[in-house]
Amino acid sequence: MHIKEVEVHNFGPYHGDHRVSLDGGRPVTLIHGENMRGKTSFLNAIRWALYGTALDRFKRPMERTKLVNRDASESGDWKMSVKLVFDVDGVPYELTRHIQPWLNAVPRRDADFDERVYLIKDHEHKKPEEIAPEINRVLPERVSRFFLFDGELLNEYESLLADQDRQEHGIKEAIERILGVPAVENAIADLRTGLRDASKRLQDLLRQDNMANALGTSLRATESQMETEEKDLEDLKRQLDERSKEQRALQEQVQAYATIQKDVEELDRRNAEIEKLRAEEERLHADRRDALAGAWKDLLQPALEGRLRQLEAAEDALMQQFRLATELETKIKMIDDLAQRGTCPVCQQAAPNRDAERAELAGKLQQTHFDRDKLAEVSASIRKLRRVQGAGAAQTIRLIEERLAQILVDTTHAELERDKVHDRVKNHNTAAAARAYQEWEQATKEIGLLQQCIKDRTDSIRKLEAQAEDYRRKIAGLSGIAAASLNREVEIYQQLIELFRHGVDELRNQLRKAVERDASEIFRQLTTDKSYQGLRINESYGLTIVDAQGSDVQVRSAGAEQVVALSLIGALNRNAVRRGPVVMDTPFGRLDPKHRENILRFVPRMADQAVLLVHGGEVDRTRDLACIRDDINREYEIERISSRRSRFATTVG
Amino acid sequence: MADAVNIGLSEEGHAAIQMLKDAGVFNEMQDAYRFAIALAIARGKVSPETTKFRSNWHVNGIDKDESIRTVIMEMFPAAADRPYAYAERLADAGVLELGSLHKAGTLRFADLFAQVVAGAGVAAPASGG
Repeated sequence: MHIKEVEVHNFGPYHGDHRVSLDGGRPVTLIHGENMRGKTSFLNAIRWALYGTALDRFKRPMERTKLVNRDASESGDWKMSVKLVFDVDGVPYELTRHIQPWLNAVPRRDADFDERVYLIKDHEHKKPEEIAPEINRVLPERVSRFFLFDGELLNEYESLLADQDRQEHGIKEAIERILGVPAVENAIADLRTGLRDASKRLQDLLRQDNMANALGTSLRATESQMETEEKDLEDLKRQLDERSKEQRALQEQVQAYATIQKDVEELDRRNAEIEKLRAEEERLHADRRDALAGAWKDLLQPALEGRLRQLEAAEDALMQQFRLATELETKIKMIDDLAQRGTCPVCQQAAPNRDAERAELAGKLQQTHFDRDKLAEVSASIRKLRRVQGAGAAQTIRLIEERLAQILVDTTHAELERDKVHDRVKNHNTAAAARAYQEWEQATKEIGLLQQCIKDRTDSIRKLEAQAEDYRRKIAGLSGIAAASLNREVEIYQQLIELFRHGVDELRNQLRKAVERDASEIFRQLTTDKSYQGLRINESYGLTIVDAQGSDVQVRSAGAEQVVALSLIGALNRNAVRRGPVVMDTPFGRLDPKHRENILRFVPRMADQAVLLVHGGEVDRTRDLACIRDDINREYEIERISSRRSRFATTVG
Repeated sequence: MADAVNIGLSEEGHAAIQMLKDAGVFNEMQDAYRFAIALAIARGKVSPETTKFRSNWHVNGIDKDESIRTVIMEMFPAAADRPYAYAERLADAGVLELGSLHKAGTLRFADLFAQVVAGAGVAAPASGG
């Protein structure tokens, strides 16, 4: 498929008619446009023309009312159309999709629009019922993600390497579809129908023979069961496809939910933290109140100690007076005792007169002014004040208040963080995201069950096939010449089915090897780290980088993911049963300049036709495009007329 | 004159102690009352003798072990004949300070203890009166 021209009318920011030619002898068309100008709308216009669906940034189908240019719709013009002119293997096609409201009233939902699709193939109009099958033959919607590339693939591609049980079924299936595996599976289904038909004819022939008839009845019953189970299998596969589609549609919301969920958990954590801090604060206030009940004595201690020091000093002075007075009194008493006895009790000599000495001592005693009552009073005061003792509440209160101050800081910080998260959460539709997540989980669970049922049913059909084959062998032994040719036909069908069944596994292996080989070769061209050996493919077509030692590289940057994804897309295009144009929206966002240059050099060889929608931050026209100048067909610039209108201007070509 | 048997606070003092109780600073008003007496002693503050008091508590409830009476009699000899009347004036001065600190949001008991230990506002034994 080669797109020659795209014409849009009132689509997104493109008010009125706009025409973009992608025709020419060279493979690459560049459309430059800064953010919000309409690059993604251009990609959506192609998707909408082909399949009637435009996707928003969450990959959800967009409502028609939102697709029509706002200036046009506000002036009452709700007509919108996109025309694609393309050829497939030299056969010209013109596809036009057009919508307009059924009534003159302002449309409010998709059903308010009448949609018309016209397809001219090789100058002949196709019937309406032939159009969708024809488009799906040319570029099936289910493989369109490899041609209309807008970054979605990166997320899906990364899921190929994720947990096998939970990974998306759709992308692996889409890869096998683009590589042509279903064609072989369809052949097996057709051969089975042929086998059943030949077998029925054989059984009709054998009804006359009793033994053969009995075997024929058993064979018929087995085949009937097989037919039922095959129908069930088809039904299960259809259900699996539907559920996978639903799961894919929910994927973006699920990713959004994961982010919201993280925020909700963070919010819960912050709230719990704040609650815990407040509980501790409340407990500490209670502890402080308890401590304050007896703290007045502690507060009084410094003043009491000051007073005690005064009293103790007074007590010391009084004690000193007391000791001096006691000493003088003792001496006076000794003099008086000696005088009264008249002789010394030791030497028995007459006692000397000591009146003068006594008078002196008595004078000193009088001067001491010792007051016994005062001493008793001071000592009692000291004892009483010493009983007024604090219980160490000051230290307890200090520790409590230090912790309270810290709690205030922690609570303020936690509340600020909580408010930030709360602001984020309140901007999300949490309930819708949670619902989407539940639906996604349910779909994932059902997909697992359906896959198991499909496996069980396939095994059961194989057993029934073996049983039927056994009956046929026995019938062949009994039957005469008349049945021989029919027997031969049945055998041929059986052998062909076996051959194709073996072939489909072999085809898968070979295709995987071919994809691995080509992806590795492309990866080596694209990567700036030449020490890598290449890429290793897994069962789901997930690719792992292999280093110089042959080991898997476990951690990859976002840029590396993009290079690996582009390698896969390149390899799939090389091995695809159908080749188509690659339209890439903002493909270089994550890449450094050297990788960007490598990929730009590779783009012309990636597909027969490549349309790159890029902004100035990704590709600098003067600096980056020299390496592919000879491969560029045309360059357009999406110019902003107003916030609601853009237009294409040719810059080169 | 006989000493007071029922003691209380000025109107402003009552408002302040009610606020401290309501704000959960103290378990009981009597706890705040005793703490206020100690604070006033430490700060060397006392409400004027002319203050009009509204009695609220019996001295037996406020001073079960007579520690307050002892402290006032020992530290303020001049007030020794009517210690509870003096305690009432001390409590009023202390409660007004606590109320004012609480209102300003600067009531930190650890700070009060630190200031008292550092000698800021520690009262010298007063003469009472």
